[in-house]
Amino acid sequence: MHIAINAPSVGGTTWAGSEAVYATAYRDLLRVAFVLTGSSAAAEDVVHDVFCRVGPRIATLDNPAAYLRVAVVNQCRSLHRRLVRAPRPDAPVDSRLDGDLVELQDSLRALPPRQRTAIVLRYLCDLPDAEIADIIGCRPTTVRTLIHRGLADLRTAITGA
Amino acid sequence: MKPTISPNADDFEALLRQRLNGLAHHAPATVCMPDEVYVHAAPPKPRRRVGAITAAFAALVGGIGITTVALNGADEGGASTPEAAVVMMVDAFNNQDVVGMVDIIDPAEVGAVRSTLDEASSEAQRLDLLSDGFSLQSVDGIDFEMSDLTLSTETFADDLAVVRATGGNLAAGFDPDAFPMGGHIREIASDMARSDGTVELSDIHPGVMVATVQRDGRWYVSLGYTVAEYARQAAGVEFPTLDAVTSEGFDSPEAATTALYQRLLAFDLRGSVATAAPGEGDALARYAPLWLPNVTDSATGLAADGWDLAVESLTFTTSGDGSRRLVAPAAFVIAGTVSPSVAIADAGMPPFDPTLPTQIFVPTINGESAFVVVPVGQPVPANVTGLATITYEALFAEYGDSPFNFTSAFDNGVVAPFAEDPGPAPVAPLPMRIESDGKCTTISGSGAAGFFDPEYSDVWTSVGDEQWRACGPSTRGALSLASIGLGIGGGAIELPAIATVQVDGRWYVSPIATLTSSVLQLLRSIGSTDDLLDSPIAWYLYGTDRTSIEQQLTGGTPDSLSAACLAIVVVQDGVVTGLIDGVTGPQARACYSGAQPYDSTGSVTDSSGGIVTQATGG
Repeated sequence: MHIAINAPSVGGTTWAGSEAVYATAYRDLLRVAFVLTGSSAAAEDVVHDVFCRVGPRIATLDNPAAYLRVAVVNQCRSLHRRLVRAPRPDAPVDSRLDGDLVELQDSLRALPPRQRTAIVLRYLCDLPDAEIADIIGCRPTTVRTLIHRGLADLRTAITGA
Repeated sequence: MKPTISPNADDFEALLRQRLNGLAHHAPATVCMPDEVYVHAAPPKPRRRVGAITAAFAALVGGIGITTVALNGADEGGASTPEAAVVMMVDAFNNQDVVGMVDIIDPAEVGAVRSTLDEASSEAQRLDLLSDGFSLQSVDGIDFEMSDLTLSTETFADDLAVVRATGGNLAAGFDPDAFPMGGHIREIASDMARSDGTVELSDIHPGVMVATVQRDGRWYVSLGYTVAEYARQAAGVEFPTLDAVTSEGFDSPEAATTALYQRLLAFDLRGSVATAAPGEGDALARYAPLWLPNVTDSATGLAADGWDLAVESLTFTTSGDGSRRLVAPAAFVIAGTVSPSVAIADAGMPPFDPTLPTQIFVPTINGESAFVVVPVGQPVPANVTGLATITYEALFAEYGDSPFNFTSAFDNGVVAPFAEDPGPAPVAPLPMRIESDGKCTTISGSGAAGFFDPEYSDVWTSVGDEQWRACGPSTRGALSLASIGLGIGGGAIELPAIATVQVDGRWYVSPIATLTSSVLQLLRSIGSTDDLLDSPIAWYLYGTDRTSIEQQLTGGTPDSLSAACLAIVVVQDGVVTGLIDGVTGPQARACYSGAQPYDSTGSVTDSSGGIVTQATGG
């Protein structure tokens, strides 16, 4: 038996009636999840699962896009925990990616999860420190520390400097 | 060959931004529209079942198959079945989502838990036990995951079912680097390493089970019933079939609190249970018939023995708003009588019997046992210096197991006096009065003398004939009242604060909030991180507290101490006379953790195990 979740809404407008808005939000979440997990399949699973979990409640949220982003980041973190406990063989290199992007993906994967998340939210999502802090669950000063350290590691890995 | 990239920060950040967007461009492009997001609904469950039900936890945690939405059944609280409620709890458990776990708890209990959790974590952050980044919604560093879980459900009543794990695994890990511990804890736990482990749930004794209750057609996890079920099954008794104790509401929070105090002091345990709020106290009320008869018999015996105490002159400080109030006694008087047996319970050494010979133990420098024997009819000397002694072997050979008076001599040879003959044991109940003004507690009466033994306690100071006073915080806190009922003396008395809740216009005791608020009160009573070493949780943090480690070190010689201990003591004339001012918890812990200063070779080691000096003796 299958049950369709209720169509969520943004600002009172259901996404079912505004598919472009919904699709944009969905794709943005996929982008974040893909960069955080390094896997297309995992990203799809994460975003799909978040919509399943949040769906019925989304009509009650003031800012569903932000809420969903938090949920996706948390779900990526949970996924990371499971992978840490049960390491899997190295993921095959995505043949669509050129060398620079493979290098970035590997470098991101080597970062601690909180540093990786802070870097992605700052440089991919362009979020301010305060919002990143809310998502990660720390103080803005900690965000700056995480980004500083993450940048240093990425710089070393990518430029050798 | 790598392209040449300037390490300049701005250039690198721009490059990173560009590459991240390039990477994100390769994210999947497939968008599932709302009506394409399907979830599997839980199959309908038979109402009465005692059989294995395999719940697809792994699928749930892995993000496919059954989802919380489906298990929930609709956009409302609770779950559609007992198993679904447990699955939701496990889902939150696997995600270290404390708030999520709380959300599936019985609504009658959740109010008592949630506010305290938030406040307790804030207090822990204030004391630097947890970091500012700690979040109840996702606790980093602690990883739990249950997998391959199989469940069986036993329905005890229309509104009560126990879900038991019959198989599955629990993987647990603790990463101290990731756990949001505060700086203070990180300082004392710097050597803590990551730990991981897996256990089969079926190997956990006495099994893993969760009680669920039905409220308005939905199922929730119940803390109270879960605890009660563990207790019932540990006792090996059948599920209660007698009527539950009926709740009794009061006009005000203070009235509910007063009733609880009075009934506890009067050993009226049925009446005490009746003050518990309906819903939150359901488990207590329903299971009470299992233990009330035995406890009531004991209480009847105590009353017949002379126990008759009542609380009077109560004044309160009430805090909180809405439907919950915390009622803390500001001042009180407990008066009445106690059993005469308290006066002879601690009589100590029997008095001198002139018809028996007397053995005096004499301490010797070489540690061997030595005794002075005084035959019947001769006076016991005041000092044994210069008197002939015999060894234990010689003593035993001559006297064997025959009865004798026994005392011992101090290092200076002075003989410890025998206990005075207490005379005939009292038979009438003894008067006792306990009076607290919120700062000091005064006890009086012969019952207090026997019950608290104030003459032999550091806590009490004599302030008159059969009257003693103790000031400052209690050493037993919320357990004080229970300790009176259990006959435990020795320490200042303080009545515990009682959490109350309003249900349908009447006020009741909130048992869960009373327990959790006592923890909160404890944390609030600690002024700052600097005060932790003097707090009741010092032992949990440092393995010792200020008083204990001071007593342990004072009087010793510095050459027997580790470097960590030497750093915190005052030495005068070659003897440790106390602790320096401002000893911190981490310093005390470092000393305590190296508190066995001598290893088997007589070397002194510091707390990290490094040899710092060579022992000069002993």
